Amino acid sequence: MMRRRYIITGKYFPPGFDYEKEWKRARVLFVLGVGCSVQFFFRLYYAVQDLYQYQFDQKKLKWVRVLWEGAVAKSFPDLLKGQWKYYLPYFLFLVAMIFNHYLYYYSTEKCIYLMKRLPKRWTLLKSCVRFPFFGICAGAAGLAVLYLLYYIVYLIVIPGECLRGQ
Amino acid sequence: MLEIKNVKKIYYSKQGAVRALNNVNLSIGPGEIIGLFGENGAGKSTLLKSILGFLSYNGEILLDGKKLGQENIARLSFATCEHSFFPNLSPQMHQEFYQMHFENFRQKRFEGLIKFFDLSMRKPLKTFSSGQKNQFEVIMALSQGADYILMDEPFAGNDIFNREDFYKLLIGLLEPEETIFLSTHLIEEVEHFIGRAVLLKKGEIVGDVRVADLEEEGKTVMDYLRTVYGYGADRVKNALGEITGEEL
Amino acid sequence: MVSFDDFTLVDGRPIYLQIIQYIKRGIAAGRIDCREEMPSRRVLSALLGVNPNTVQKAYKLLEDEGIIVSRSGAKSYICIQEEMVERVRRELLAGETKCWVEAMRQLKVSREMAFEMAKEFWKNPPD
Repeated sequence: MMRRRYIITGKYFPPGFDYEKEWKRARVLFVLGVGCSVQFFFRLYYAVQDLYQYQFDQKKLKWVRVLWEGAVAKSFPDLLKGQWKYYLPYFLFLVAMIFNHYLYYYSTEKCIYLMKRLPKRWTLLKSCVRFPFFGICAGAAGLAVLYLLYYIVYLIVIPGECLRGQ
Repeated sequence: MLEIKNVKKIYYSKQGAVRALNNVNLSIGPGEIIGLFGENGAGKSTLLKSILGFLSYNGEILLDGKKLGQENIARLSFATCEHSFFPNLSPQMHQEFYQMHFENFRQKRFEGLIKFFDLSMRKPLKTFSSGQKNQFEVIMALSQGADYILMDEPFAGNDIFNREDFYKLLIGLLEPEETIFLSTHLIEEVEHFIGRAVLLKKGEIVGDVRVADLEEEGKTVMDYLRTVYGYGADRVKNALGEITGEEL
Repeated sequence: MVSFDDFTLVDGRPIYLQIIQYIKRGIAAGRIDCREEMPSRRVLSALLGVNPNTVQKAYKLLEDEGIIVSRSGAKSYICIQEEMVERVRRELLAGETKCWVEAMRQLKVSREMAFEMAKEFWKNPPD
């Protein structure tokens, strides 16, 4: 029932638009981006490795890991360098959707003529923009949570002395 | 009263400036049924779309003295051969959409017209035949609750018997304050139905006459249009003469 | 209620005149009763598919001639007196005869021949 209202009202996307397909595609792009972001863990591993050297402990008779003197770990932003590229497809897709929504009104039937005549004049604009805008905000929020988690991992894994004044 | 004052519209193309509308002056009173005639490219669609605010233009178009805006746009409705409905929505859903946006939506008229044309309420519009799509387009324009119903070649594709019945139904349905401004090529069909004929040629109004006045002179709308257009009786004869070189 | 079922619109003559003619003919032929109700303007215009102003004009002229009477905003009725029926009949008759005489004259038919032909057709009316 709720879904039916969304289809008709034109509040979040053009009336009759196949929003499910669009949302599915967006989700796939987001998940792919997140999948690529896992690269962070690899970088983190090497960043941690860089902090240590191996010394032969005469007493214990084995190789032990010892921190370099004054070693400072790569900063968190450093480890994330270039990751923004992974989310570009998702955000650009949503921006493109705004235009796609508008063009929808110009397809075989010119419902643009109806939309431009509505007394509630912002309906046309809202129907084009709201859904992508919601997607952008949700994506940004999701990424904020994701990278917060990554940061926590970073803080856990990097020894305290090596953290730069962050 | 819908007043169109000194409206001009110029398109710029490779060939230069094209005057789609040139100094159009027209007053449309409440309750009139007006036929807008003219050859292709005369500016009929341009005029209708300018009134509705889809196109920019020079000049003034006022509805009861006020410019067209959010408060009074609902008093105009539009039916076009290009269709302005949502293809994926059913008539039922369109009804809901219109009820949401147009407070004067005519529920009973909508239901009656759907029934008259025997249209399905639940199937998406894109599954309808082209004739049915035209019918639905007109139904929505009539059911919106507007005072001024503008129609741009709405009957293209409908078979003749449906059209005849439709004109009759329309006359019976219309309230005294409802105005119809209809552009069409089907001059002979609408001759009896309209009360006034406006003729557009190359963006200018070259004729504006009440049908009652023509009747006094014993002319039909068709006769009037012919004279204004300058299509004399021997037009064909002369053309044949020129083309074939024969003496006729 | 006056029936317009067998009324057909023809091209070439103003519709309001055709409506008036139809009423007059009906009265003269006795098909239309002296006190019959007329359909409302709106209904008639919808029935015939003609602009309401046209029907309005016809009704007004019929009123002016005293053939129908309209109470304000309500229904219209034929209200014709016997003498008026006669007058209408004669009027129609005069019109038809005039047409016929004109036609005969145009064909350069002499009066005697015209009457002969009339007699023939009177005896054996064509179907």
